[in-house]
Amino acid sequence: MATSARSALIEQVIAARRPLADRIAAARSALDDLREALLRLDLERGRVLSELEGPSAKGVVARLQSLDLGRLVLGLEERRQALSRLEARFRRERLAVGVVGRARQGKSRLLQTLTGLGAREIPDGDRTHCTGVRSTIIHRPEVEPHAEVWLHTERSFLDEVIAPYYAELPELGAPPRTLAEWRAAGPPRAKARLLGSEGAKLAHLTRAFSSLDQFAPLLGAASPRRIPLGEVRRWVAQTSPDGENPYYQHLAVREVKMASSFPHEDVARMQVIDMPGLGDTGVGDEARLIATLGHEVDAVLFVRMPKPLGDHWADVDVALYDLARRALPELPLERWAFFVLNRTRAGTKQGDNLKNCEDLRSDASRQGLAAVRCAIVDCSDRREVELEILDPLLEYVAAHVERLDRDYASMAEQQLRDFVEEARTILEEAERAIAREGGGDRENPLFRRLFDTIWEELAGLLEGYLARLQRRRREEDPDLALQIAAALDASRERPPIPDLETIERRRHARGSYAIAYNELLHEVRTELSRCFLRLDDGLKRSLLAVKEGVGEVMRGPLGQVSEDTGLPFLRALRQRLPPESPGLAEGFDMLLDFDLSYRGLIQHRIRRHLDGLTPDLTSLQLSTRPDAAEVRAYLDTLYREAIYEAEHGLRGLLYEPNQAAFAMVEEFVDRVLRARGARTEWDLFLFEIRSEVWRGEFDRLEARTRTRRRWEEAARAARSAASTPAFRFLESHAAQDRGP
Amino acid sequence: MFAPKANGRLLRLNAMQEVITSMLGPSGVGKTSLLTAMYEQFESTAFAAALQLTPDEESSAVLQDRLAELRSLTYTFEATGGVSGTEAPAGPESLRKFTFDLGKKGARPSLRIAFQDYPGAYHGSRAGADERAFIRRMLQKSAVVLIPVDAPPLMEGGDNGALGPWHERMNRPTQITDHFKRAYQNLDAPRLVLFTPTKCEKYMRAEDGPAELAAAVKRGYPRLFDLFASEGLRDQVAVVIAPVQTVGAVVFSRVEERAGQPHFCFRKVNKDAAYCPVDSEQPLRYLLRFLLRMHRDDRRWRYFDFVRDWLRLDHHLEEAVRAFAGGCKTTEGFEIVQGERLLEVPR
Repeated sequence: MATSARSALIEQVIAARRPLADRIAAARSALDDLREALLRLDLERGRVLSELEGPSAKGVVARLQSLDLGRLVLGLEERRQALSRLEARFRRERLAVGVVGRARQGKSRLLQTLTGLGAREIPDGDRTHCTGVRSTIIHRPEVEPHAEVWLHTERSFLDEVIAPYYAELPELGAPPRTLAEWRAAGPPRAKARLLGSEGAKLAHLTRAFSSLDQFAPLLGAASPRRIPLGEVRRWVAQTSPDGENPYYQHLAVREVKMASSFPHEDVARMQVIDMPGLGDTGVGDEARLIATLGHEVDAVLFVRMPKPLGDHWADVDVALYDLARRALPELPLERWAFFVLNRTRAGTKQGDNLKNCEDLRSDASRQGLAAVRCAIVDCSDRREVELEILDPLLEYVAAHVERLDRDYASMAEQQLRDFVEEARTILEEAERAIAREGGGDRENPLFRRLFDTIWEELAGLLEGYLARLQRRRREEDPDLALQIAAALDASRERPPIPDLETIERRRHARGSYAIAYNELLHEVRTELSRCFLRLDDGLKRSLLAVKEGVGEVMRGPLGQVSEDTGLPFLRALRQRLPPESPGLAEGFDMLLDFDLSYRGLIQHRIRRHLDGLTPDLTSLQLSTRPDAAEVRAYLDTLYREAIYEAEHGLRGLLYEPNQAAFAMVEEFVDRVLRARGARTEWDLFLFEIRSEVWRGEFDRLEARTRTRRRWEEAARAARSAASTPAFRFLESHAAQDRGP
Repeated sequence: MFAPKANGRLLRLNAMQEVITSMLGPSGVGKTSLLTAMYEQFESTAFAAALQLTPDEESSAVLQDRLAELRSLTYTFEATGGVSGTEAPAGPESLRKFTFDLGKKGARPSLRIAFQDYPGAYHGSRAGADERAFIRRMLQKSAVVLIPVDAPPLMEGGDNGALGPWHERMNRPTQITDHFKRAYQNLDAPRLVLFTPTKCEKYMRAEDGPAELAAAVKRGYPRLFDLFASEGLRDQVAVVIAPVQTVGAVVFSRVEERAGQPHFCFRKVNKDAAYCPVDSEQPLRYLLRFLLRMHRDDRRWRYFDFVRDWLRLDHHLEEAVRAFAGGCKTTEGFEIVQGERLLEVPR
């Protein structure tokens, strides 16, 4: 691949990441909402548990307590972090290569060779081991080389640098909450003597404590600080190059970013990150390594320098590899890791280690250390580094990064969806946790008495309303009559008949009166037909009034169920019907969905009367010697005849709304009153909502219903928060790509 | 002992007995137009070669005027209200009567047919006892009754098979039924009642229109048809529906309300169409067919005995009348509703 094309490709992939990053951010924010809803639900659970009482509540209490909301929140946090990692990767503007290696393996030397910087900027560990400061070296040939120093605040210093020691060494007691508190407590002391690595860690911490005065003033100071590259060492190393003067500033430094021009010409927009070495006693390093790898790196170089006298992959190597694997569980490490076996030559103080390099290389896979490539390179040799490391790495990234991105993202999305699915299942269960009191004591004499009364009343009222509608069946619908009259008046008052001049012009344009006449017939007919369209409103209004009537009738005995009136009351009632009342639901649905439309009822009847205005069907054909007056007279007569005919056709329709209304309500009454099982369905339904229908009669139940409602609402809100499409961030990505 | 009777019969025949035909319908339904068209169309049939129908002078003048009016209907494309109505005379004495003499061509007529008209007021609810008694007497004397039915008020404005709002007012079926109720008690001789829908061009041209028209006539006079079908009258009264297109080229268009009053609008079937009545001679054919049957029936009747001798002396005349009467239509809106036996003409 031509080098410039490689760079261009990498640039392109990086540019394409941005829109996805936004959608991932949206998914993350949806997760925040869900967490919010889960926390509220947890709160509500506490309230509900405190309100529930009595032996009947036992089952509910057990169900509520078994809801593992804590686990859901933890899982959510995990997903949220995964999304953060993914988002960071897609927001990155540069290709980032992390360099990992224990102390004295040649990591700093490799970094120097890659970036063209020297020991001044990247101190190697020949004399003293490196510090925990993370450095990022950015290829920016367009700017003057310089560095930016990012300082810790007191808070981040305590959390990221000091607290991990206390976590690792419980013998030290609680970590300090402020710097002053730490200082006042005096040098850290363990209750027992610490040995081995623990002892080393304590020594490290003690050193930091004793140099507190030297670096503390820097904590929280203005940051970043721009410095010349020559001064970098003072901020990242423990001593001056000669090892004489100790440096303390590095304890206050969180990160150093250096801008320089890399010697290799074609490194795209690349940055190299120096990961703090392991095997060191800097305790915070491990967590920071994981975070950095997961969030900021596209490829990682493991640097290892085999000893010339014989070496093998040690536990510490495998542990380091595993650490890196945990950093980005969604993407197998072997797809983005490179091994660099640092070769030393005869004559150097390390001696020739080629044989051992080869041994380690061949042994890597046996140890489960898989990587894209395992190169044997003299890390101080620029040509070798470019040939064996940089070029293959860039080639690989250019060829695979898109695929890696996709696999990574879809893995993350799948995990997110699995989580959300699980959350929904749990929340659905939660919603049902407080069971409706079905099946309870329907034989309760109080309920039986109340039900019988209300059933009689309901049946009596509905039958009465139906009887009224039955009587009205032979009456014309006044509303529709008015609408029809208005439509007819409008068409009579404004006949769309052209004047003689217009007819003449049309004849001249078309070449004959016959063609003009036929055209005008079409136009006049269309105009007339349009007048009748507005009858739709009248039809709908008449039906609506009847539905409102049914609602009002039912509101009599059932008014306590909802504050709505008329049609909304019917809808509210329908909403409350339980699945055990399918017959009632069917009846309600039929009534609510019933519709009359101009197209269904009237249009075909009107069309018939427009035949006279249809060229092929009209009874008035032009005479052998037509003129404009004849055309006009015919149009006028046919137009008036059509209105006359339509008027009489429509008059037969005036009964239809009342007839349809009667049929509709009769069907409704059939289903909700007279059908087999209807009474039982009402029995079940009213038993369930008895505390609302008969306020006060069932006090305890009423309170419980309120509690249940509140709980269900909270659970529903959480479930709805878990149902947002934002979680399918890849799908919407694809959909958008297909769009215009 | 038979002579005086025979002489009397001869005397009556020589005096040319009148067959009285009542025209029972309110003004405006088209009685005069019907007669005009009937006469006009009879003249243009082939039978005009053998038979002669001659109006008396006064009738002739009226008919000429009406004919001119009817023709003028076709001068314009659209017209409202048709021709001007016949003025209502002052009392029974001034009633208008159209008389036609029927006979062999070139010979003395042997039968006089008088069409008795009644002004609209006679059918009104305010008709006095005198007027009602007059109509009763005339109906009793009439062998044939013509009931012209204004078709558009009968057919228009109704919903779902019900009658429209104008039929009762314009055709007055209730009053007409009441006249028959009074007159047809103890009927002693057969009668022919002809319902003749007029201005029915629109319906006669429509598919299924003729049948619907006939059905509407029955719906329009339900009690009258019931009366005719009652036991006492069933065998005595022949009832026929015979629609007449008095102008032919003009069809009903629509009703327009003007100042709260319905106006029936008519239009020509096209600009070039001319006056051409259809089936307007059919009532005359039925009339003669009925008379022919009575003539052959060897019975005696109080008012119509003369028909027994009407054709006895002239075989050719009888044949011509028989041939003319044989052309009665019975389909496409024409219907013998009852009393077919009374219209059978034996050879």
